[in-house]
Amino acid sequence: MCPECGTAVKGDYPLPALSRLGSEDQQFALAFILRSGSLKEMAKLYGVSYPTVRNRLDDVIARLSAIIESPETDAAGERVLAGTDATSDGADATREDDDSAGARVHGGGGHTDAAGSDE
Amino acid sequence: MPQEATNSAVVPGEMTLARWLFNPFIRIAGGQALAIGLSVIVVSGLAAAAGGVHFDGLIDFHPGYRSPYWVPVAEGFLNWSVITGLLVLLSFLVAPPTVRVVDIAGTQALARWPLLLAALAHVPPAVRRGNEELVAGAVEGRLVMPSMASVVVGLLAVVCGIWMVWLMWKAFAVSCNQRGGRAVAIFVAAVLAGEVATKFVWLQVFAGFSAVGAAGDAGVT
Repeated sequence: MCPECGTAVKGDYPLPALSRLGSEDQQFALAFILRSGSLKEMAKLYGVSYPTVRNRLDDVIARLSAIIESPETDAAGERVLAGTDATSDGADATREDDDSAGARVHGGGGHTDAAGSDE
Repeated sequence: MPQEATNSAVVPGEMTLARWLFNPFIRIAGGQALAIGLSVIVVSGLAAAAGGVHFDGLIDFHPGYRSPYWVPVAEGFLNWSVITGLLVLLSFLVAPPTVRVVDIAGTQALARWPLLLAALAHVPPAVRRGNEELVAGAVEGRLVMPSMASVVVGLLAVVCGIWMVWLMWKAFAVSCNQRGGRAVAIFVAAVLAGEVATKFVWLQVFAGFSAVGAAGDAGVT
């Protein structure tokens, strides 16, 4: 629960891959998109050389690739493709699959229904 | 969604004095580094000729010789082009495909700037004469005690040489996004191969244009 506004989010659902990046990585990705993917503009923005900002992007890509290729994301992706994500009627069956894969993701930013109320 | 921010936590780019000295490539690379670096190579070569110094190998710095002004300049270009070529070839094998040749070339050129300091330190006539007598004595088998100036400037050259190799490493690390033990091994292998290649070319092309200073004053400068 947020100590300031009292908002609480609880659920059993996959977070988007971008949301699972760290705060600095997300800020970098946001700036990159806002500059149409121009590394030269990014270098100007941060006051660094082109290879420095490109290396930073390569690091973000590596982390994002690891997230996407992780078993957690695979299970979440299968769930979405099957149309049986936590909001659907098939939530129980999916949860069983997830449990076997050890792939449940808990976090904020999604819906707030009680799909993950087994905690 | 986070707010857009340009703080140093997102891309660490704050330039301290230490960073300017030991990893300026965080801020300078590409065409800008290439322009500065090539200028430095030319000026270093001219200063080396004035100070009786040779760059007769990728990481070599030898005082006490005389040669035409163009020779140390050409030696500088040879050394830079050989290591750049080797690292470009290696980057095809080990680096991400996003690596730019201009970054490798530019940062490697800029990495050679400590040699400018070392060469300038050898320009004073007293230092030059001392080194020439030292080398001539060694060639003739005479024992010549080095002057204090020669010792101090020689130590400075050693420090500048180590500094240059460190900058070459950081240039490789930044321009090819390399880090860790494997990258160090690749860099060391490239430097060793570059040293052998530049020595070989130097012996074939430049050796005939230089002479031991005190003994070979016959108009080579």
